[in-house]
Amino acid sequence: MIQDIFGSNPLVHVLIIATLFAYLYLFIAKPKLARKCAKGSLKTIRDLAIPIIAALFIASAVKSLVSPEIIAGFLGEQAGLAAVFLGVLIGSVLPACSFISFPIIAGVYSAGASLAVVMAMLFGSGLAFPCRITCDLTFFNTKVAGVRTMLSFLTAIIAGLLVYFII
Amino acid sequence: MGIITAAVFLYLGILFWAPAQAEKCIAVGFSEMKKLFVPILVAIFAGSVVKNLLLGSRFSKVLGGKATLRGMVAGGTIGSLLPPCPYVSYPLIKGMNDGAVNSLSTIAMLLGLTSVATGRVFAGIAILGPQVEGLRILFSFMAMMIVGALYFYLVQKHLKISFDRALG
Repeated sequence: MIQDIFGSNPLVHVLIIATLFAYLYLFIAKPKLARKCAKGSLKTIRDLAIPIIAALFIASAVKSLVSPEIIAGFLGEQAGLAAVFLGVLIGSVLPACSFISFPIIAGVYSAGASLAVVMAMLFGSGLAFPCRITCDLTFFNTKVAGVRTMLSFLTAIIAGLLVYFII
Repeated sequence: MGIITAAVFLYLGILFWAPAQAEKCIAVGFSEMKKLFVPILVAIFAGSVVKNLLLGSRFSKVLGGKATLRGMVAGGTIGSLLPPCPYVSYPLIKGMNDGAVNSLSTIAMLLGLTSVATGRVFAGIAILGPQVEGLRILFSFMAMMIVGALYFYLVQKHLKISFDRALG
C-alpha cells in the first residue's frame, strides 16, 4: 500500500522526506515564507492539475497502443554505425520510465544486439516519449521543448558514437 | 490548453478506431495517476521552496546572472541528479527558473535530467548490470558536457543570443 501511494523509486521517497522536513523547518523558523511557499504550490497545482492529468492519459495511451516487441524486433540483429542512430531513434519512443524500458532493452541485448546499439537505446530511452514533451509544454513552452529535444538527441547520438568508437 | 485538446482528441480517436483498447488506456491512465499523485504534489511543494529560497542563495550565484560555461556544467550536474520522472523534476526545475536561474543553466538542467538521469541507476543496476549502467552514466555525462558547451558557444558567441535571462 505504501508503494501504491508513494511509488517505488527510493529517490522519490528521499524527496518526500526532504520536503516534509523542509516545510516543518520553515513553519517553525520562517512561518511567513512557509505560507508563501505553500500558497505558491497550491496555485501551481490549481493551474497545472488538468494539463498534468491530460499528459498522463496521453502517455498511458501511447504506452498501451505501441507494442514493445515490434520496437525490439528492428534492432535484434543490426550492427554498424547506422545502428547507433537507429538505436537512439527507437529508444526515444520507448517509455520514459526505466522500469518499463530497461527490460525491453535488456531483452534486445540478450537477443544478440551489439553493446553500441544497446547503449544507444539507453541513451535515447524516453527522449521523445509523450510525457517528456508534454512536460516541456506544460511547464515551459514549445521553444524549450524543441531545444531540449534537439539537444537530447544530439547528446544521445554523441554518447552512442563515443561508445561505438571507444569500446 | 493544447495538451488538454490533444488528450481529448486522442481518446476520441481511440474510442472510434480502437474501442477495445480504450478501456485499457483509461485504466493505465488512472493507474499512473494513482502512482504519481503524491510524488507530483510533493515535487510541486518542493519546487516552491526551492524557488523562494533560491534568490540570494549559493545556487543563484552559479546558475543565475550571466550565463557561463561553469553555470552550464553546474546546471547539467544538478539536472542529472534530479529524480528521472519528469512530472517530479520539472516542477523543481521550473521553480529554480522562476527564481532567476538563467536560461542556459535551465536548459542544461533539462538536458542533464533527460540524458544522464542518475536516478535511473537503481533500475539500471538491477536490470542491466552495474557495468552497463556505469557506462551509460559516464558516456551520457561526457556527451552532455560536449553538447552543452557547443550550444553555449554556438548560440551565444556566434548567433549572439543571450542566455542571461530566465526562460520566459
